[in-house]
Order: sequence, then structure tokens, then C-alpha cells
Amino acid sequence: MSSSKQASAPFDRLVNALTSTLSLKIVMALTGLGGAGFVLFHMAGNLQVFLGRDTYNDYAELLQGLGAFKWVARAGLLTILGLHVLTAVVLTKRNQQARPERYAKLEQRRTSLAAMYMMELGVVLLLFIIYHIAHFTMGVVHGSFEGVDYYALQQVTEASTRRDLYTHVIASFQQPSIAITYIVANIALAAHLSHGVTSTFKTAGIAVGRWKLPFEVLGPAFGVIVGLGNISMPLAVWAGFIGGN
Amino acid sequence: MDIKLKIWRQPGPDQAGFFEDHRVEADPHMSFLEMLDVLNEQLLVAGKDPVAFDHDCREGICGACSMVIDGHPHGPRAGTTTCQLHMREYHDGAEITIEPWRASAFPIIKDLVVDRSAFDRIQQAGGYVSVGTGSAPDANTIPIGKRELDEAFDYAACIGCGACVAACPNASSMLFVASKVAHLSLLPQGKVERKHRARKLVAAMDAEGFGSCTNHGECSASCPKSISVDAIALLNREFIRAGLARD
Amino acid sequence: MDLDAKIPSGSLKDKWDKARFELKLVNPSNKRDHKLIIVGSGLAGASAAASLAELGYDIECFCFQDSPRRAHSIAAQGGINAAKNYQNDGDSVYRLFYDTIKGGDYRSREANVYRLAQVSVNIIDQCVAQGVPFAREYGGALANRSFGGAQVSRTFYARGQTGQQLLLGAYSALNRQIDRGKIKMHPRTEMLDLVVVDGHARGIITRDLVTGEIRRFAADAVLLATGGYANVFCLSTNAKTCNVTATYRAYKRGAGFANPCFTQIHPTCIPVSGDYQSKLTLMSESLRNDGRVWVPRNKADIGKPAKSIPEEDRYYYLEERYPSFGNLVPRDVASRAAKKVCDAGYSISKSGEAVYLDFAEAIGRDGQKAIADRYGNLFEMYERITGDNPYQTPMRIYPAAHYTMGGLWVDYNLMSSIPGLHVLGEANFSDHGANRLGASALMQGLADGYFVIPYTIGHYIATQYQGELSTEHPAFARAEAEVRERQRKLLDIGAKSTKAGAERKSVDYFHRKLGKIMWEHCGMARSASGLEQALAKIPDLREQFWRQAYVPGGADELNPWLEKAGRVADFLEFAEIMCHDALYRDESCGGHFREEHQTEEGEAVRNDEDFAHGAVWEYQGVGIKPKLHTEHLEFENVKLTTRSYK
Repeated sequence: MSSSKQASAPFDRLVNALTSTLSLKIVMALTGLGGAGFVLFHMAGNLQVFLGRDTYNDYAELLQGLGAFKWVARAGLLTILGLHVLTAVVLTKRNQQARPERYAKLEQRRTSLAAMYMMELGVVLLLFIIYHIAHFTMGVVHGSFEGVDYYALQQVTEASTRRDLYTHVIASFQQPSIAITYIVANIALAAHLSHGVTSTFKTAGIAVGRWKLPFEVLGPAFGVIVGLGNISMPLAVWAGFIGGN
Repeated sequence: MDIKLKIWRQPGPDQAGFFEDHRVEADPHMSFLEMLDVLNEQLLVAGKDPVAFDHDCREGICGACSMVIDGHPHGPRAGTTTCQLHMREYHDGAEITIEPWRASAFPIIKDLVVDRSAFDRIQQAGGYVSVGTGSAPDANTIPIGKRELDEAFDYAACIGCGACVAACPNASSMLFVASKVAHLSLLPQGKVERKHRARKLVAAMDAEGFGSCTNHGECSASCPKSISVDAIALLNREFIRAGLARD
Repeated sequence: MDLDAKIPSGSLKDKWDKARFELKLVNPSNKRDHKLIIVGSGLAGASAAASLAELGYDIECFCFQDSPRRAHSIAAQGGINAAKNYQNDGDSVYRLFYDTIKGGDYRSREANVYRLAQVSVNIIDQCVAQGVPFAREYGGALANRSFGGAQVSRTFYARGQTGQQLLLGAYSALNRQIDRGKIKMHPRTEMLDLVVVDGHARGIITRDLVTGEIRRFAADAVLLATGGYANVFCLSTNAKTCNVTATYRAYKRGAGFANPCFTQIHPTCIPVSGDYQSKLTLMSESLRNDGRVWVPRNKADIGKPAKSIPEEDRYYYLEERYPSFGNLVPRDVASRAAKKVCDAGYSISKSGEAVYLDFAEAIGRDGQKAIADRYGNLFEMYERITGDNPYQTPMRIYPAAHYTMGGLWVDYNLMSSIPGLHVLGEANFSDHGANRLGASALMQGLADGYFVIPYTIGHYIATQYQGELSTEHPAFARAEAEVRERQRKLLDIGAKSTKAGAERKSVDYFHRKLGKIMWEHCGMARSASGLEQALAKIPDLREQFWRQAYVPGGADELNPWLEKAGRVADFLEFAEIMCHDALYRDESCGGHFREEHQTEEGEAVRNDEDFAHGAVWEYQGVGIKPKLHTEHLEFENVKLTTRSYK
């Protein structure tokens, strides 16, 4: 037996499998895919804002009423996010170490801006996620403005008294600074997804041969759909299309 | 034609490097390396230190030449090694920047010469079919379809120059490793050891300190043999298959 | 000098079998105690290193390239011959043997060539098992083509990069043994001398090309697989670093150098475009299957665009002179014909060295697509180098030095005249006689490495092993001191020429000068007077080199100019031996054409009476005519005939 073959002993194999660049890439791809699934779902749910205050708040109440499942979902999403960020940090560090001395000039021939700035986009998105949670979920930032505590607003219906998230959303998006923040963040999201989703299927070894083109289209298409879907909300509020009195 | 050059000079591996300006009178029919030969002859006759660069066959197959020209490994023309680049690609008065491959796994030895032995060590880890001399069956015993053969060949065409690493924003050697894995795992002869090979080559690649693939495709765009980036997806697939396997 | 070829007795087809039985074996458990040095990692070196390591020997392998994968075998385009007869078109081991002997113009050993044809079939099996992607038919079986005018299709090929794929196969076998710890590989390490102890080759002196460290390596036998010396012409199709140093220094230590004047000029290369030219690029011989070679019939048309010259004013000289073979005559014949028309003033370029290779008729007949399918990559390469589009204007081609059949003399067991020193591949002289057939170089390199040396080296070890040896032995110290002294001298020329305020000249300057002398007087056509002129000029040039060649840099660093200086210095000595050999061989045969020996129509005239032998030269000192020995060639199976392609 050669020395190299002994290295595939079970323990070494496990260590390799957990620390290998390719394994980390796979973790990044899978968590990215989870995240992509979530943002699609999140967008679809929120588009109900176009259906009016009652429908939208029904939906919010439904989600809030999931009890333990809600916390399982939140924990899951946090884990996904954590692993995604962790692998990104580890891999980026490895990449930087792989080329400590930069070129005076390195031209790109094929890649996209999105691909070149995945890490930067990721940082933007991470900051945005924190802000977004602080904003709508926790109400600690922009929970109240212009003297109104929108986070605490309640809608009284026949069945229940519940949080009036709809009004909080509309009021927020009527603030230019908040709307712009959301629009910019979603452009970043669209760009991140357009490279990330395609990349996921390449890392998974699926986007090859005749499957290459469909997946190369899928990423940008997915990014554009999610991005446009999300941006449509502040735009519609701004244009007075929804939320107008 | 009057050519202005900005060339990376580095006396040794541990010494600091810098750019040096030179001028050469070139002929449009010269190859890029012949233009550098002329420069070196000038320097030499003037008693100055000529520029060291790797080169050998000068017909695009040995994979020795390695320089980043104006931000492109092997220069501006796609599917071409530096030695096959000709000065007619440039206009009179052009200013050209020349740098070595830059990657921590390819330490600079001198000027534009880098140490690419990392590639050999990766191949040694398992880039082969374990068949001893004399133990081969008759060559026609295993039929191989023309299409699968052609596909395997496209990957086998790698010349090991390292342009993929040089072009990759992450200095990843995935295309190099993937070409060998794809070549052998697409052929029946190489299928027996495919899991072992995928694991070993990826581990060896990591040990050399190359970066990770983020699917830019720059490697393939700069590959003088235009090897498809599909190789990388195939390597990923082989790696996952090997990871899920019990043996 | 003992030139016993040790050819086994018996009938031709039983000789190799008999030899394999008679050759002594080394006990498998003892093999690991025997160290072998292999210099060179091309097809011959890598295949030998891998195969011997598999047998259990302790191998140290050296190459001056940064990786064994870059050895110049990688550049071979066309293919590899094997007597598989997969096409059922009448091929056989005997036919391959016969074609090779005849193609070599009856200047090679029958027994060696027959063995080469025998093992050719195993080579293909071995390479396919390694994963070499030889061309296939749609049904999955291996494809073949006819090559270099052969009448059977016996050439296996891997697109236009057969050499690359075969070398990568051998390289992978080498890597496997490195991985197993059986081979210690030394890249960027150049052999600078051979160490001979008590008459046996026992080691080498090397220079680490990165650090400059000079080291001694001792072993039980030394194998040279260091390729050919076509770069003596400066411009050739060889890689820039190809050199004669390893074999030449072995020659200086007493190994006989056989038939150095047998060099092959390849007819279809891209012509020289200027003084700055650094190398010549070969265009595959297969182009002559469809391309027609011509020059203008009237000198008045020279310089006019090819298209404007009417059909009747074009001189298709190969088709007119050789009606039955036409454009497909063997390499030596095609090359000389090109030289003849150019010397007569019909060259289509100012340099006086170019003829047309025209595809217009084939494109008209088969369509541009069919031609693109066949030669697309070659046309692209041509366009890249010249800037001309061969679909529109004819290619310009001219012959260039390509391969050297001569090399260190070896016996049937591939051992040189120094016991223990074995020589493989292009570096030896054994199988191609005076001219090599297309697609036979790869075959010979791999035959020697995979299937000959693994049997024969054991015999030397089993019968002549000289016992353990330390690198402290005085012979090592002496050789090392000489290497250091030579290196110091090379670096000193620069220092001296600077001090004296003399004009600095580059090593390349001298190489180009030497190349011109050799190309003019010892190239495609040679004459006694020309060779004498060359023999007068070379010592002067050499003397000037040692006075003026400026070598920058130091000894203890990566110094490509020092490397080159050492190699060119050897070429400056070696060139003389080539000329002596060419002058001695007073006949025309294969690649060696003596103008004094031709028919009225300009065809080569051989002299079997006086020259049916290998001329083996023994070193007598620099600038002194070497001593001649001969090995008579017995032809028991083939009848010596005149090659005719009319």
C-alpha cells in the first residue's frame, strides 16, 4: 500500500471532508440555496401588501402564530446564515492568502461584477438583514418616527387585536431614506443571487453540459425576480399606488 | 515599431520586486518572446542584467512560458500561449506591462520565473491510472465511444502552464486539477480509481495553498488550450460522489 | 573501444526472446539496493524511470525543465507507429521492420529494428491503459492513419498532439512511482558531467539550476535519455533548451559517438522571418497529403502575389520530379528538392529560403470545411505565427533541422561503450539509421524505456555490479572540480571582456554564427570542400567565444545565461565531430547528402561497399580529430536496394 492511499483512512477522510475547500464550498452552496429559497418565500409573502391591509396583516398574524415552529424556523435560518457567513470568511481568507501580492493590473474577461464583489455584496446584505430585523421584527430602529410609534400600532378586527404591520411598512416606505435603503439592499440582493444561485449548481456538479445554460440563466433570472418583487413594494408606496388614503 | 515595456524585476525569492522601464525596437513579425530576446541582448551588451523568463518549446505545447501581459495571462489573444503571441497584435508606441504569475503556491524564483512544482505534487497525489508496465490488455479490448473520447481529450489537452491560477481572482487551481480528474474519470481506464483520485487531488490542491473556486470562469477564458470551465463542475461532482461513497 | 553489439544469435524473430532468456535477472528483493540514475524525463526517460521503479530499483531521475512534463517529447505532433494491423491492410512486424530499415537507408542494425517493431504493439496497449486518448472510430475501436508515405495505416494518433498525450501518460506513470516513494525526482537540475570509476559509469555531477548548487550523485548504473542535438543548427524545431551536453560530456569521458552527421531535416516548417528568429515551427507532415508544393517557373514572377501567377507558370517540382509519390516523398527527398529550387534562385521570399504549400486545389475539390476539419488547428497555428490566412494564400514553408538519428553508440542492450552507461531514445544511435520515418521517434523512445531497458539493465547489474561507492571517491572530486572550473571560466569571460573594454557579445551571437556554419556546410547538402571550410571556421569561432561571450550573473543563482553558455560551448566542440563524420562518410545516404555522390538527376547515391557501417568516434581532445571505430552492419534478412520514389 502506498503512503498516499493510507491517508484515506476513515478519520483522515472525515477531517479532509470537513475542512476541504470543496467541502466548504458545498456548505456555502447549500446554505446559499436555503437562503435563496427563503428570500423567494419572503418576497412572495410580502407581495400580499398589494392586496391591502387586512390580507397583509392576516398573513403576518399567521406567521407570528406558529409558536414553536416559528422559533425552529428562526433558528434554522440563523444557522444557515451563520454557516454561510462562516464559510465565506474562511474561504475569502484562504483566497487572500493564495495571492498575497496583487497584480499591478489584472483584467477580467468573463466574470461579472456581481461575481467579483460577492463578499462586498454579502457584507451589505448582512448589515441590511440586521437592520431589517431591527426595523420590522424588533422595532428598535425606525420603530417610531415622526412622533408615531408604528411598531406598537394595533389593528382591531372582529377576531383579534393584532399588530398593524401594514401601516408600519407603508409609513416606513414613505420615508425616502428608508425606501432608498431597501431599494439599494435589494439591488445588492439581486446581484448576489444572480451569481450565487448559478454558482450553487456549478459547485454541486449539476450545471454542466446541457444543464449548464439553463442554470446560467436561472441565477440572474432568480435575482431579478426577487429583486424586482421586493423593490416593487417601496416603489408602489412611493408612487402612491398602495397605502394612499 | 517602438515598444515601451514595464517589466517586473525581482532578483530572488526573498527580495523585493519592482517595475523597470525599457524600450525595444521590435518587428511586427516577431513573437513576443523574440521581442524579449532582443531586449535581453540589448541589456547584455550594455552589461546589464537580462530579464529571466521561462520558455522552452516556443510552439505552444510545453507550458513553460508564463507571464501576465497587460493584465492577461499569456497576453491579449485568447487561446494562445505567450510564445505564440506576435508583435503584430500591438501598435507602434504601445506600452506593455509584464508581470509574473502571482500566487503564493507559485513563489517567484527570479524576475518572471515562478516555481510551479505545486502542480507536479498535485499530479503525484493521484493524477494517474495505476497500471504497471506490461500489465495492459490489448488496446482494442475496451471500446471507447468517439464522443466520450473527444470530451476526455478536451480536458487532457492541459499543458500545465498555470494560466488558470494566474487569471483566477482567487488564485485557485481548480481548472488544472479538474482537467486531470475529468480526463481520467470520463474514460473507462480511469473510472476504477476515480473516488480515490478526486479526494487525493483536492486534498493536495488545498495543501499547496491555492484559493477556492468562486465560478468566475476567468481560468477557462485565459486557458491557452481553451479548456472548458465544465471541468470544474465535473470535479465537484466527482468530489461529492467520492464523499458519499462508503469506500 | 569495444564495439561488440552483442546481438543474440538465431533467427531474426527469435533474437529478442532468446536475449530475454539469456539476460541475467536480479533477485527481486535485491533490486531496492541498486540505485539507478536516469537523466532526462521525456518519453524514454520517464517510461524507463517508471518501469524500473515498478521492478523495485531505487531511482533518481533528473531533468533541467521545471517539470518532467515539459520534456521536448511533448511537441511531437503526428503519431506513433505500431504493427498492430488493426486495419487489416497487410501490416506486420516484419513489414514495419522492413520499412524502418529501408527508410533508414540501410544504416541501422537489423536486430534492433526488428525488436523495435516487435515491442511496438505493446506500447499502444500500455499507453491506452494509462488513459492516452488515441483517436477512435465511432464504433469505439482505435483509428489509424497512414503517415509519411507509408503504404499501410499503422500510425496511432491523438489529434495533432500525440507526443503530448504519450508524454503525459509516461509522466503519470512516473508520478505514480514518485508518490510511492520509489523515484526521487530532481527537476531544474542539469547533468554537467559523467563520473567514471574503474571504467564503469558510476555517477553524475549536477547543477541545481535554482540555487546553483553543484552536487555529486553515485549509482550502480547511469541511464541517459537526453534527446538529440538538432540545436547545433541554432535554428531548429527543437525546444530552446535542447542540447548535446549530457551525451557530449559522456563522450568526453570515453563513450563512443556514432554517426553524428545523421540529422533529419523536416521539409514543412515555417520559414525564417528575420534575424531575431529564435526557433522554427514545424507544420505537420500530414499537410502534404493535400497541399501542393510549388515555386514560380519564371524568375520574373518572384515577388508577385501567388494568385496572380497562372497555373502553367507554376513549377510543382515534387510532382514533376517524382510522378508516383509526388508531394508525399520522404522527408529527406522533399527537403533537398526545396533546397535545390531555392538555391537555383526560385525562392519566393527575400531570405531565399521558402516555397509555397498550396491548398487551393484541395479546397476547390473538397470544400473549405473538409480542409478545415482535417487541418483546422494547423491552419490556425500558421495564421497565428505568420499573420497570413492559408485558406486564402498558400503557406510558405522551408525545411528545418528536426531530429538527430546519430547519438551515443549502444549495443543491443542499449549500453554504451562505457560499461554501466545506458543510452535511450533519441540520445542513442541505434534504430533509425540515416533517416527516421515519420511517427517512429515516439515509438523508439517508449520501446527503449518501457520494454527494452527493464530487461537489459538487470543483466548489467547481475553480471557487472561494481559494489558500493561513495561520492567521496576521487573520481567524483575530480569531475566536480572540472565542472566548477569550467563554470568559473565561463563567468570569467564576461568579467575579462568588461575589463578590457572589449565588445561584449552574447552567447546567442555565437550560437547563431555556429548555426549558420552548420546549416550551410553540414545541413541538407554537404561537400568535402564545404565541410573543410566548416572545420576551419569552427575552432576560430570557439576561440572567439571563450574570449568574448559575455555571461552575466553569478554561479549561485538561477542563471539561464550561464546554462546556455555551457550548452553552446559544448555545441562549439561537438559541431566539429559532426563535420568530421560527414566528411568521412563519403557517400549519400538518408539525411546525409554528399553533393559528390548523386545521380545526374540529383538523387542520392549510397556506397554499401565502403560505408555499410556505423562510424563511431572516440574523443581525443578538444579540437583534435577524434579516433574512428566502425561497427560493421550485417544484413542477413533484407536486400540492400536503392530507394526510389519516382
